[in-house]
Amino acid sequence: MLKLENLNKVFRASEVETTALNSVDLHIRAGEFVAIMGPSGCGKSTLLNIIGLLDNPSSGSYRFLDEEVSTYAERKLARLRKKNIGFIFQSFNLIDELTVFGNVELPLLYQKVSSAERRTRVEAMLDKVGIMSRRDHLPQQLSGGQQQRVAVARAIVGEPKMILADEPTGNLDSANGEDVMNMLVALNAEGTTIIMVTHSHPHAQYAQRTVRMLDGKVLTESTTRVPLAASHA
Amino acid sequence: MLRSYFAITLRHLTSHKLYSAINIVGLAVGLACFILIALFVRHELSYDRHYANADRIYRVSRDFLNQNLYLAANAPQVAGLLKQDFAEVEKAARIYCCGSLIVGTEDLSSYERALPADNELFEIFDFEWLSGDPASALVEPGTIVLTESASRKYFGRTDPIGESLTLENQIPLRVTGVIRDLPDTTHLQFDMLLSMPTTVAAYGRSFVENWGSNNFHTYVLLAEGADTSNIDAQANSFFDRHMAEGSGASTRLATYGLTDIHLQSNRDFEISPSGSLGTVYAFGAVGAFILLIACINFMNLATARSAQRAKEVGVRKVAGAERWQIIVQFLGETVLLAAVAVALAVALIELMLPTFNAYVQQDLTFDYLGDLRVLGGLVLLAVVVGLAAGAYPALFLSAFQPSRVLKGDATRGSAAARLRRGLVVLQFAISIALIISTAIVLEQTRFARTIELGYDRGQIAVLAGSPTGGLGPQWESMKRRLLAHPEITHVAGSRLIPGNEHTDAVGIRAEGGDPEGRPMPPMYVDFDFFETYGIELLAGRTFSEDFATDRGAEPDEDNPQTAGAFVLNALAARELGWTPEEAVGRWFEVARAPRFGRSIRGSIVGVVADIHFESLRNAIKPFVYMVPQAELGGFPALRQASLRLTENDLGATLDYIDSVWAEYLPDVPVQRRFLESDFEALYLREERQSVLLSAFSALAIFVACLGLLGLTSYTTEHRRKEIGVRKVLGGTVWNIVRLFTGEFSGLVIAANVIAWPVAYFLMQSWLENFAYRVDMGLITFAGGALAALVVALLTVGTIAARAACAKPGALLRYE
Repeated sequence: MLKLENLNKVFRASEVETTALNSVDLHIRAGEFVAIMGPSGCGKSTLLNIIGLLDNPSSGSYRFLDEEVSTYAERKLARLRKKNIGFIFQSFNLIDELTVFGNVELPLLYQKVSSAERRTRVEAMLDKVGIMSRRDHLPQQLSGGQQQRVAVARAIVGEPKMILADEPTGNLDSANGEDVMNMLVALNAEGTTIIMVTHSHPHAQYAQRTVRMLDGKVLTESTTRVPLAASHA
Repeated sequence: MLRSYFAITLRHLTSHKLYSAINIVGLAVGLACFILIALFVRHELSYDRHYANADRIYRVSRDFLNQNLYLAANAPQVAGLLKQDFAEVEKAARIYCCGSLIVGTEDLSSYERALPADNELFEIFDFEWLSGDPASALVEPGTIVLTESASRKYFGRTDPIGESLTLENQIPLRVTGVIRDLPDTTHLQFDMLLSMPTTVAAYGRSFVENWGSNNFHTYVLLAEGADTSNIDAQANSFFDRHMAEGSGASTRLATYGLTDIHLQSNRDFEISPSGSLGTVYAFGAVGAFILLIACINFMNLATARSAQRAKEVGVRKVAGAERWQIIVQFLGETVLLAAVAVALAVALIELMLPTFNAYVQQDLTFDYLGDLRVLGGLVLLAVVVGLAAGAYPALFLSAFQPSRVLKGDATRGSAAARLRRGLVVLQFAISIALIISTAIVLEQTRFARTIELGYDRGQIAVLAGSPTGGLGPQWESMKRRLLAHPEITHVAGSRLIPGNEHTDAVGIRAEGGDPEGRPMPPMYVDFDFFETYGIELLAGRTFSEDFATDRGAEPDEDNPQTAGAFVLNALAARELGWTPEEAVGRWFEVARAPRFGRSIRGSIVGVVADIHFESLRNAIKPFVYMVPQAELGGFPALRQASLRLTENDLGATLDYIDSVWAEYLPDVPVQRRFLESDFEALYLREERQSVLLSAFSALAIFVACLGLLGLTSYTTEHRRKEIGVRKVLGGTVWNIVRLFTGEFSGLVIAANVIAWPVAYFLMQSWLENFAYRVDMGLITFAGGALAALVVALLTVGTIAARAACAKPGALLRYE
């Protein structure tokens, strides 16, 4: 699915230079469920942003679906991202002015899906994550767990090949957190590649492989369990 | 897709009511001002465009170079000669202007604007005929064409062909046509048109053969595709050819396109008062600036509050939006907002239009429901303003990177903050320039009202006689009757009174001066003129009936040089090289025929103080005062009577005056007015413009402060934590208020750097219109700056104080 080689990311703000990623090598196969762990400031989120085509590396190679994307412009990244990647965030990041239905519909709007098909697919998603009864509510009217479920629905409505989750259970209580993890596992079982940044060891166990980072470098990788779906590089 | 955008825009507007209100109200006020001014500008630019041949019609005027005299009209012979000399001139016609003549039936007569005109005029201007035949209406002597209103006034209908009217109680007229009333958007304004042969029969052939009678407004219709370049090239030689060899050196033709006359021709004796291109430009600029200020508000507010939309931008981009799609979304929001603002502006205009019309003295209409062009214009305006105001914020907001904003890092652009500050400076620069300009206009207006004119204009009633009848043959007797009334203290007759335009000139020469002589304006007055007006005598004496020669005898064939007496104003004496004392006793001569072939000669008996005879726009001229014979050139010399009244029992006094007039001049309708109101009328245009300017300045500052209000509200909210921390550390409300006001004050003060030079140059060129004007004092500029500063400080200070008064706990709670 994706391959990072000798990836570097340096942030420059006025006179201060911060090296967020330092010679990172990473290879993730299609269908994998990978957890990325590490202390605050180790570069996890930066790595996720680059993997998610939200940012360019300063140097190094990033092959995504057999394309070298490290130097792609914003527009090309956006197109690739639209079709292939879904995101789930710690703070949900729903648009407060849109209803649940409107939020989930958003990716399909940008993919120019017809109105009728949008309705069908969105309703299917809402059903799948169990939030159909709240379809006309605004995010402010939902609990944290419900909001995250909407976010998951939004992330998968476009049928992406890969889902990136940045501390998806960070703002949830244990029960809701479990729900979200189970949803991710189920998605992975259907063949979706999942890369998850997390602080939680128990939640990291849901993944097949854990990558540990410190100070912008990959420290270790360990396998937690056997992959559930067949994989191909 | 659109529904989603629409829903989100609506929710956004309602969830942030203060900012939405500021944006919409500010834009609406800006738009209302802009549209009102646009209506005025459109009206002014539309004069004379409705005539079918408007682009082929020209007016040919006359310049007198040696006298610095630029007339709207021309000599009577010119029209015919133009047709003769220039092949491209298809038609040529004249209108003699101006003056009111008595016209009436047995039952009703009054002063009407009845102008002699050539029949060919109807082949140039396509008036709308209600009855009669344009081919022959004004060919015969004794014929008259009426406008619709005049026709209804005298005959109650619009087809009184063949009916009779009398001119000046003497000349019979036959109605030969009625035309639709003239719209106000044409410089041609008259009630009736007489045939030229009528006036020739009444005044003699010399009426149309006198090169010195330049009252004939001359219009030509050129062939298709032709222009006036040929005529312009021969502007001087034309007179050499037809008048006298060498005359082209001192006089020439001047051509104007018909549609340029109203705004660009501001000559002497126009048919109707000109508009002013300068005013149109000025108001246009003001309107554009106010709209600019409103748009800047919008831009500033949108970018300042960008952090609130940042997350949404990030989410949308993550969900697949490309940058251009986000731009379109935000532009759509702005256009929608602009549309709402336009709707509100329309409501505001409905409220403001009557007052605006009163001040610009027009009858502007705003027919947005009926006129598709107006409606279309409004829609276009909403779109353009929406795009213009929204472009920068849309670009700014759409540039947010999801990787940063979704982590909560929505701070951006010290560059953006710098731009915002720059825009605030621009807004206030415009506002301050407007305030300073308004203050100077007000000062000049006040100056004009209070300046020492050299005469006492209070409580003077003026009676005007007709051009042919003047004050009548029994003027002396009437004068004594008027003086018999206890409340009438002085009565004087004259040809002109203060406030009249004065363009006549006679040739004069004087002791020790150029034997060729020079032109000088004559002032025909009777014996009590100076006392009536309270004009100060500087040396010698004023006219007196004790001296037989004080009344100048007119020379004729038998007596080519007659005796007279003259009084000069101080300027005339100065120009001849004398102090007032030195002038008294010198000989002086007024020509009555070229080269002093016939003249009146006598001594200067007195010198009086200069008075502002015309408006302050014109410099004081040198005058020679003379007491004329009863008739000059076959017509009464004195035409207007000035009566000084006491303040007692005014109503009864006026009734008495009217009854005496009716007794002596029963066929002449009374035309009585107060000199004070004439004076007011002179400056009316300036007065009204200054009121309008004040209103617009106030609005500009209002809109700018609205923006400041929004920005400050936002800033205090954004820096809530900082305020809390400062208070916890011991800061007082006053400290915090000073913090915020200090930042904004700096901007307002910086705005002066731009505003002062701009205001200076603008006002410099406006003041040049006035021969007598105020100085632009530093105080005015400083005052403008101070006013803007105070308003800004109050706005910012109030918001800052309110924010600063919150308890620190509340401010810091959201940590």
